[in-house]
Amino acid sequence: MELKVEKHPDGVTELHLKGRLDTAGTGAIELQFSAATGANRAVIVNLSEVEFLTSLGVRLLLQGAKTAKSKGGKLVLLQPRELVLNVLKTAGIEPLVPTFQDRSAALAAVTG
Amino acid sequence: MTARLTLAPTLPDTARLAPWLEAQAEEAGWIEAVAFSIGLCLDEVVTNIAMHVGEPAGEIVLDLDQDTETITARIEDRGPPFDPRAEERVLPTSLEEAEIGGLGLVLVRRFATTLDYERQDGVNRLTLRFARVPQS
Repeated sequence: MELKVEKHPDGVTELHLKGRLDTAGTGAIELQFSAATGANRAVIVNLSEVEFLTSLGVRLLLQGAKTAKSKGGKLVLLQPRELVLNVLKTAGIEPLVPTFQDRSAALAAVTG
Repeated sequence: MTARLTLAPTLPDTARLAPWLEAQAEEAGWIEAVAFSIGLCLDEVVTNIAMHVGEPAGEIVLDLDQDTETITARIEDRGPPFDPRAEERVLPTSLEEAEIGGLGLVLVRRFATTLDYERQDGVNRLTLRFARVPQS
């Protein structure tokens, strides 16, 4: 599991997750992820290279969204694959943490 | 033919599940969505045991059987009786109230085609079945 932090010139931070966000994968990146969501106000979590997601990964994303909100910021999810989106929907967080396929819509949501 | 994997009830050992399942999926030609569901459910169950029971669970024994229509996974542990069918959980409606405890079991109930549980001779036996071709 990998996490890359990309700072866009417009102040948006994009977190690129890659790999399996399961128990082991979540454990591998959770400290880095929490630090990044706590330190930035406008966060896009790019899920396009996440091939697998379990409840611990869902919890990590949800906690990130809560952290962002508590600091007056926003966190959204970008381009989850179909099977990953299915987990987000089943878990009931898809409406709580805004999820976009379209990058410009995601950008508008975190900067607006 | 049964394929068996045994795991210690610890979080680090859960990392052995995914590569083992991947080998099973490849050998048996599971379609992606079914392999995903099986991987998800088994990760949730094994993680639950590692996080909430730990050492008293003893060795976790996972058996996989399959025929042309169904893949059956049986998971056994020696922890306290725990019937995952018994708990119901309401999904959160706001970010503030969202608590994720028990979410794993919600996912297992939705992603497994059927779920059975029995307790026998000090052993929890959870049986998950998955249709090889997912129902729409």
